[in-house]
Amino acid sequence: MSKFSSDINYLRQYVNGELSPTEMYEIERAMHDDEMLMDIIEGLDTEKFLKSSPPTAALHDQIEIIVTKHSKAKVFNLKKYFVAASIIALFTIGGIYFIYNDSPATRVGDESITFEPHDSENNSVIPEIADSSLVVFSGKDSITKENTLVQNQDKSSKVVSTEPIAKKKLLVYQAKPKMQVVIEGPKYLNKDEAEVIELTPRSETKSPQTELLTAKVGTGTPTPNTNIAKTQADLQRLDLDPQTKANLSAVLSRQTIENKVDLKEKQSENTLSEVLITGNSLASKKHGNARIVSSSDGIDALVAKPIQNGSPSCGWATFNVYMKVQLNKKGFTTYNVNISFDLDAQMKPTNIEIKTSSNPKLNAVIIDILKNGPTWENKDPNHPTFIRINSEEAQK
Amino acid sequence: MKLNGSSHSKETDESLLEKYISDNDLSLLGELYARHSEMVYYVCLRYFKDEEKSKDAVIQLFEQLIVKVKKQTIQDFPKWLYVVAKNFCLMELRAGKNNFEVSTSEFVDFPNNLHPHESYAEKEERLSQLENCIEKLPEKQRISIDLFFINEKCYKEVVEITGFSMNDVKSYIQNGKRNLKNCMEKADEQI
Repeated sequence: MSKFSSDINYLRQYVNGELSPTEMYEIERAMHDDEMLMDIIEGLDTEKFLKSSPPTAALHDQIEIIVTKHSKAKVFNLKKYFVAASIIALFTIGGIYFIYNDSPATRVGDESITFEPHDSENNSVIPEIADSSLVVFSGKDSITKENTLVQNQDKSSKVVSTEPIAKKKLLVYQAKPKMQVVIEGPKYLNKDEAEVIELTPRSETKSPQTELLTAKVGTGTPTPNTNIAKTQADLQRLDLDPQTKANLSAVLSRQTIENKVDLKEKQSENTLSEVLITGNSLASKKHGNARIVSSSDGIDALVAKPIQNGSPSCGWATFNVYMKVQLNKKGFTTYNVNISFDLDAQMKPTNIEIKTSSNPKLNAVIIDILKNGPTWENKDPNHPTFIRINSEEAQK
Repeated sequence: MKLNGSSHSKETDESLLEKYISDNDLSLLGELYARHSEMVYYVCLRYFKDEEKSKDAVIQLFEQLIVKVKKQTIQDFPKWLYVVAKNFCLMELRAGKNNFEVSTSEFVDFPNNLHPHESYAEKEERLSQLENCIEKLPEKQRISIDLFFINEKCYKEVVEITGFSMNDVKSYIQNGKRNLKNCMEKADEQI
């Protein structure tokens, strides 16, 4: 490439005849060795022939436009990538948020509910809940579950009510839909402890409902029938799942039946003005509220009373006379014996067991007396007959 | 981007080309192309004989260069650009409807060694052959060749001396040159 090829203005001077013969010859001589220079000069000759103006500025502007357009296209591509990345990031965050909210700890149905204490006396104890299924009642009796406290519980998962709650008002609780509420007691508590919702407050003062729900079936004082009926009505108003309601109803029904049996027995025994014992266990009489009432038939030295089922065929008065006479013959004037026995085919006592006795020497004597004594009647052949023979009670 | 008087105005063509290939900054290629855009335009104008078509060709060539410069090894950018521009114009003329005849010989290749090393004796022999060939040229061609190449007269002076027109002088010199070349090739074949 000759030195003239890049100097268009100089070449234009050549074309316009503005150069000296020597300068012109240099260019013309170079043209024969440089094809590009020849084409440029011929182009300049064409321009001169067409009388067009030099396009330099216009060409530079167009090149600049192309450069700018390509740069904008590049930036636009980057913008598109940025927008796409932002959308993906938003979806990702939304997905994580959705998954997090769907976790058991934050599910709506498992929200912990905390009621502000109505009484300012116990305001120092603010219940905080860790277990999402745990229900916290608070009023005068603030309840805290010490082992499950979590200090930094998300506030959004708590619903705080500032409305005062009446002391005896039944408070609402929510439980997992599939979780059964099991009544604590030896007969029905057969679930894993983790599934048991313990509703027993630590405070000694209990609402009626909590008393009912925590009553130990068969081990405590029976719930009065009036209370049971009321509780059943309250139970229907509770927002519990059907399974839980069914379980609670079953427990209440069972308690009602047992109370009816007790009352029936009480009535029948009252006709005899005799001893009343609840349940069929002698051991329960020691610690229970069973009462032994003295007989009013005038027998001083001996009182033999049935605890359950059986009665002598000759009647209690005759039987008591028989027992007193026989024991006096053997030299026993004071005695206190609890006895159980079955009846054989001849309705005679058999399998006689001395449950408790004030004098061990008396045991064999009483067994012998009973075996040789009158026949018996048993209302329930499947259960043994219990009686007590007590000289002290008879003397009162 | 400001092509005229930009911060890259003092950089060489090779430097700008290397930076564009490495940085992919189109302003660098724009700067480089703007330097030689006039050359491209006049080459195209020489073939198209049309101002607007030549301008369009300049822009189209620039858009082709954006990709093309990265695919080829370029040692002399202006010369490479000229070859690309000329071939583009010839291709356009061939593809046009005006049945513009373009011989394949007009397409240019990158020159190899156009001046191979010759010994003094070989030069002397070729000069004697050249004198013989000049003697064999037609008179108008021989006169024009003699005035231009031997007496170093410009076209304008040749016109003034011979009274030929400018176009005739150019034609006589061009044709005489081609005839000399053919004559020299025949002499080489005879040797």
